[in-house]
Amino acid sequence: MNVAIGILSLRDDIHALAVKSKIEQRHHARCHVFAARELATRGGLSWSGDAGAPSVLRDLDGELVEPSGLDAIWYRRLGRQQLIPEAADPKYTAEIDAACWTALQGHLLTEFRGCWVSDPEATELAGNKLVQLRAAQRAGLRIPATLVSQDPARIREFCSAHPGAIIKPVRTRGDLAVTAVVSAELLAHDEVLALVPSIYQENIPGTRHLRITMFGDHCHAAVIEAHDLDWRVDMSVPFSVYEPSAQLRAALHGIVRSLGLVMGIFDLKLTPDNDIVFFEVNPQGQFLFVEGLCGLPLGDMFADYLFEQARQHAAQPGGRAELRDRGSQRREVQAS
Amino acid sequence: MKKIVPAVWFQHKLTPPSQGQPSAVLELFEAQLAQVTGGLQTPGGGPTGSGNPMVTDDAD
Repeated sequence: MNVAIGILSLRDDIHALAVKSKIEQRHHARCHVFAARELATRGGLSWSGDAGAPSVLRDLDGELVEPSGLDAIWYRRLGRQQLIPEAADPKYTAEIDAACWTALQGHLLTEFRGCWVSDPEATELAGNKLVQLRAAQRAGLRIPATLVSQDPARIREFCSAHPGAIIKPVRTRGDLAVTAVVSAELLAHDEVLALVPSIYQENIPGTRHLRITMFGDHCHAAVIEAHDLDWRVDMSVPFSVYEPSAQLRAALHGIVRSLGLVMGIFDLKLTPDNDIVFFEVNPQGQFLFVEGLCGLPLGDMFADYLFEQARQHAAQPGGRAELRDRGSQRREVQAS
Repeated sequence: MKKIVPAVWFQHKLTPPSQGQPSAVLELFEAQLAQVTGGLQTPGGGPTGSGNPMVTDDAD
């Protein structure tokens, strides 16, 4: 059976390139990486309302690919800001970004009928930390006492009630903003506190951080022994394989399902009393470094999982041909 | 006039994170991965100082 897989990501995304390589080597399936930020520099997008005309995207190798012929797409990285060609007038950057993103989104949503890993709309919503925290609570997990606010009086009140409270961004964009303890100096600057809402949380004690990678029924965890609040600042700390309890697995699966995802990379912490506290879930978080640091073969396992999702879709009655016909009929209805 | 910044970045400038330590094990793994992916050169030297783009990319 011919199986074809797409990965929507960025050119230098090691995860995308490694998984593509593993899928090709382990399963001899076709795997195309689409560089979402390079439509303006590389071109290659065409969509047609005519059911008989091809709708295509150019992959990293330069091949024009019809998304209707793909069985699964790993919705890995978006990159809504395009790389802008030198010849383009920078005054039109926002318009270029909007045109490219809208056309790419519409192209995939109308043409592709396979299995998303994960669904684009669910991925967008699940990236919202407020939504995640609520989902974790509903799944029965403990979350830190949390305030998301830009009200200086409420922020000071919260930090007074939770000595050593930490601050982190509601959403990360660009450079890495590590989790930090709120200082008295920050609390004295009302205009800074009020500029944007930020996340203020109770400082959870302990040095054992959990990084848990879930996809499908897979649940693979590592424990990171780090004194830093944010273990990402020092990768030389001990990483080891951790076996999550059935109860924790069930709760994490519940969060993934409730967010409409099929995968998620979790950050949690073990307290000195062995209580588990949920911090966040990254719908498309990084996981290969865990393989490098504690030996879990996550790359192979994820490549196998992605291939299996595609294989199952391709094996459905009628397969891609039937689905392609349905897509054509839908366009005909929309055009009539 | 000095511009104000979001609270997270204000705190970040007050107490910048430590430079961190690279992991030799991870660097070796990345080098192996670079071969698998056709010689991709990993950027390294990210803002965490870990030299690990698998962590710093998009900071998640």
